[in-house]
This record gives sequence, structure tokens and C-alpha cells, in this order.
Amino acid sequence: MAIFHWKLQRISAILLVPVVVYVTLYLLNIGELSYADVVDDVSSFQSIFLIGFMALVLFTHSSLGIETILEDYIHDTKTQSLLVNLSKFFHAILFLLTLISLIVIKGN
Amino acid sequence: MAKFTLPINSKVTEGKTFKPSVEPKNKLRVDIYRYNPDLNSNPYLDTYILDKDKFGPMGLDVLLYIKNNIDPTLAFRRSCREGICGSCSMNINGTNTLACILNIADEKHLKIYPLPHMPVVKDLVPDMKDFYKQYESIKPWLINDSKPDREHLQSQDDRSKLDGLIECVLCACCSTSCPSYWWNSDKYLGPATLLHAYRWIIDSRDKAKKERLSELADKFKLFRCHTIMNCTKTCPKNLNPAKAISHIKQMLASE
Ligand code: SF4
Ligand code: SF4
Ligand code: FES
Repeated sequence: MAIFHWKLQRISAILLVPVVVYVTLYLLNIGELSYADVVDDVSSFQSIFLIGFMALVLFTHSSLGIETILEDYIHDTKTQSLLVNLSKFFHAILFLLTLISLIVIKGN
Repeated sequence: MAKFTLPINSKVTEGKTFKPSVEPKNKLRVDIYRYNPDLNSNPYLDTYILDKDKFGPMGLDVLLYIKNNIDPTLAFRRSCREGICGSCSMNINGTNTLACILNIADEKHLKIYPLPHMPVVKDLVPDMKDFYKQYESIKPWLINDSKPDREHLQSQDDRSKLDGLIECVLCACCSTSCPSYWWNSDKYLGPATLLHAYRWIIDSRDKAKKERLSELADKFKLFRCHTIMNCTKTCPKNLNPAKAISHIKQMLASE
């Protein structure tokens, strides 16, 4: 499990590199796009799939990172596992919210 | 919860200042952490004003001069005075090092503390019990049931793979500089022990590679290393424990 956790953390970090570059460039250019352009960009099936996948990678990476920090600093095992589970739950909710938002944008 | 501040009875207070009657020309100011468990008081910082012309150029020369001429109660470990026994490890000017191989010829002010985050027995002498127990836990000996007529042979190539590992003198400078080890020294093995674990894993004469690796596949024993690299930066023997640790992780990941 420890090895899987370590591998997943590395793989998700690598996958996030192109996303960060793309999103940064996109945001730098967003002033030149109209509201309709942006809605178009995020509501094609391809975009929904890609954003959904990247959200999964992002929240997985974040959840693994926070789990590591909690394991480092919270020594009481009960409190530690409670906080780790809360964090996982919170990340799952964030992922669901992302999916719901994408569907709502597409529906409008 | 990890502790971010010193407990109240570990706060360092001001101690005595020892200075010669005449201000030395080649002056060195040395602040040394002192703690005596028999005094039932907080640790304190003693200051010594010294004449650099009176002793040799190494950190250990300063300590020996103080102990022999000014304050015989000062406690510290030393033996070989040439960086081989690993006993004189301590924190000098913010860096863990071996006092006997640290050149202080250009220094004007030294601040000397025991290795960080270790229980202190007295002054600069830390309690190494748990550190040695962790070292013992990785079985730092050859595991090989075959009984050759003479020694277990090893090719020159295989022997050279152990270079950069067998020079470790177990001074614990690396482990006690590692933030992960500070927070979890009861569960994380730390860079020194892991460097030795790697040394046995890659020894061509050893037959317990698999068992050794599977013993380490643990989120606390090994994976508390977050590649912060303090260990490598501080090692007074210029070894690279962080690299050894990353090799172990890679071996586990590619199994
Ligand atoms: S790796 Fe370096 S710092 Fe660590 S115990 Fe060995 S000699 Fe000391
Ligand atoms: S590389 Fe690993 S062992 Fe070395 S200081 Fe960093 S966390 Fe500690
Ligand atoms: S006295 Fe042996 S390493 Fe310093």
C-alpha cells in the first residue's frame, strides 16, 4: 500500500505538469475570450472528459499530499485516521461538485 | 501532535561567561549548550572567550582546550579525532558535523549545541539508544547460509558498488538533521539506518535482498523520507543518504 501511495503521488504529479501549463496559458489569455467562448470551451464532450479526468488527478494528488502531512504531524492514530478520512471525503465532494458544475454548464 | 516549540524545561537560559584577564588578539567567542541532569534546572548557554593561538584549528581542539584548561565539567564524546569513530557529532553554527574534522581557523564565533531533537544525557552528549536500535533492526550483517571454504568472494565491480556507503561512521548527523526524523523518530528509520539498509540490499554476497526490501516497504519506516535532502547536505563524510533512500524506493516501485 505504501508503495502504491508513493507511485500514485508521483504519477499524479507528472500528469499535473501539462495541466498547470495549459491552465496558466489559458488564464493569461482569458481576457480576449468572450463569456460564450469560455462556455463553449468547457462544454464539449472532449473538454468535459478531460477536465473531469484532470480533476480526478488533481484531487487524488491533493488528497494523498494532505494524508502524508497528517501522518507526519498528527501522532494520535485515532485523530489521524479521522482527519485522513475527513480529507478524503472532502476531496470526493470537491470532485463531484466539479462534475456537477460541468454538467450544469453544458445543460445551459 | 508533533511539537513545534521547546517544552518549558528545555528552554535555554543564559549561563556564565569565561574570559581571560587580557583581551586576546586572536579572539574566538564560543557559546556552548550546557545541561546537567543533576542540577534539576533548564539548559543554559555558557560563553568562553578564547585565544585562538592557544589551540589547533579544529572544532574538537576548541572543546578539548576548554575542558583541559577552563571547565573540566564540560561533557562531549570523542575518540579518534580524525573523523573515523563518529563520536564527536554535534551541531556547530547551525550545521550537524563532526567537531574533529571541522576547520574553525577562520571563525570568530562558534555556537555549539548537541545533535538536534535528541534527548540530552549531558551537555553535548545525546542519547543514541533509539538510533542504535533502529540500526540493529535492519540486520546490518551478511545474511548468507552457504558456507564457503574461506571468505565469501566478491568481484571488484560488485565491491565498488558499496563505495560511498561503507564509509558511513554512524555519527547520526544526517538523521538528526532530517525534519521527518524529528517528527517521527520512533517510526521513521532515518537516513543513516536506511543508507546501511541499502548497503546490505546491494551487497552481492548477501542473500536476503527480498526480505530486506519487504521489511522496508512501510509508510513510516521508509516513506517518511520526503527528499528534503538535509541529510546529504550535512553529512560530514560527504555521503549521499538521500540517493540511497531514493534507490530503495525505486527498487520497491519496480518490483
Ligand atoms: S551518512 Fe554521513 S551523516 Fe549519516 S551517519 Fe553516515 S557518516 Fe554520519
Ligand atoms: S532526503 Fe529524506 S532522509 Fe534526507 S533529510 Fe530529507 S526527508 Fe530526511
Ligand atoms: S573524534 Fe572520532 S569522529 Fe570525531
